[in-house]
Amino acid sequence: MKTRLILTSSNHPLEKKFKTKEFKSIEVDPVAIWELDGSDFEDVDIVYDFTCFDRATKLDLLEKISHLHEGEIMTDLTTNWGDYFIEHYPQITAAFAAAFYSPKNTIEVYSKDVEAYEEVTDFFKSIGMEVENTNSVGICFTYPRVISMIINEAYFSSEEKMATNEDIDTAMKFGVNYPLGPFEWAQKIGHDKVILVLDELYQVTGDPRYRVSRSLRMQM
Amino acid sequence: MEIKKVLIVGAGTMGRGIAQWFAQQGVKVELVDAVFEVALAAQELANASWDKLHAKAKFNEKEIASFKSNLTPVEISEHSNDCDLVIEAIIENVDIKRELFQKIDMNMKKECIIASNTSSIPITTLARELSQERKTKTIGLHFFNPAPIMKLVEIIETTWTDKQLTKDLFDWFSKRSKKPAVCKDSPGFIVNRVARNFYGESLHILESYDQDKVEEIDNVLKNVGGFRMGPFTLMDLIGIDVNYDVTQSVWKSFYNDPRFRPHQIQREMVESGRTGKKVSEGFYKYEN
Repeated sequence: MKTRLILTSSNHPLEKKFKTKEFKSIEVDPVAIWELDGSDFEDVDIVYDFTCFDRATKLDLLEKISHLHEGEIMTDLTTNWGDYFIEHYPQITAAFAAAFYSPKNTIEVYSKDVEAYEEVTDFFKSIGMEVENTNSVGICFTYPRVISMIINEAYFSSEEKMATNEDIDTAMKFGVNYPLGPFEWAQKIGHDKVILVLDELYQVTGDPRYRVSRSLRMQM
Repeated sequence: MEIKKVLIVGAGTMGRGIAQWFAQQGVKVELVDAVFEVALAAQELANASWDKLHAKAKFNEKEIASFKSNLTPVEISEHSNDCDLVIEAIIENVDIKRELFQKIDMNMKKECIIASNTSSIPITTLARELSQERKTKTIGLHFFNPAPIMKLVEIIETTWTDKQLTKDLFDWFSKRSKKPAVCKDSPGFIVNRVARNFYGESLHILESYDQDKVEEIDNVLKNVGGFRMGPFTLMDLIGIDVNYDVTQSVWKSFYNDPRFRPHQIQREMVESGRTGKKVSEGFYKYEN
């Protein structure tokens, strides 16, 4: 039986699940990562990182973990340039995008090998979630990227007073059968996370197509 | 608002679907097409569709008989001039549509509303040569395929559209099981604009053609995002050429804003003739 330590952040949608006695968990304060120390990682086989941070903070955190822990790291890279992290931290054996609400209660998961895949799949099943296997992480996985762009466009449309938010939600649900309208979706996911994804895409690619609309940023 | 008689111009897939839906609402529908036989064939298809719905017990015999009697194909030179609403669903050509609108403006009773089902041409462009009074009654009514089933109707206002007309149409459709959404006369309206990046961002993730990655992206967006179909399956169904045309049209209308930029994979697919299910090959291969 492997011992798991779960790191969470207060903005992560699964944070509450790990606040029970069943899990050994620590909530990470993004401005006090230095507070983590070796005793937190004693006898830990796998670190599950369920924090949702920007790239600089995530880098600080993974740097700290890799100094304090020699075993595997399975990390949430929903809002980060996953390929970069996987390349630079060999301890990462699996990465996932669990910080975005899924209408199907399913998480995109990347794993380096079969053992890591089985571990991470079993773990998500144990907390009542399904996984969808992916062969690459890219920048911010697939679903977070696509839905963030759709939400951003809805905010651009609203900013231009092209239609009301309610009418935009209606149109997308009843014209193309989206499970939620983009504004409803943004509420479920959290505007902060959508902005983190778009900012990361903009910073990594330098492509202005990822510019965040003012009205979306205004939600913060 | 009373809509008792509607003229639908264009008996292709959309025109037929719209005609069928109006007939089901108890509205008298005249269906015309440049080629009368097309209108006749559309009536036959609508009748066959109603017979199927009857067999499935969705409607009773009396209702089906009423629907059928409400829909009449008419020679284009013989349609009535006392319709309450005209909806055009003809070819997406601005000159042909403008000419049609001007003819309708001259011949139809002055209270008649003129609407276009266009998905890409600004309604303002179609309305600007019309009489001042008619301009206030000119609007976009964008239905989605299949029109009798899909609930959305985008109601598109121009700068001249009477606000009360918009409100009345919103209420009229709402009472008849449609879900109307009002929008300004802006490129792509709501759906074709906001949904652009369902395809566009998926193509950016794909970067270069890779069959495994195509399937992976489709699966993720279906199984994680809850979309009915993945973007590549949907592009195959719509027609990659059709989707590419819409992308280019929206991109140009937004002065080449990079948010709407087409992707080179789209161009490669179109240039190689792999335009989707209709030719048995697109992002996937299909049996004939």
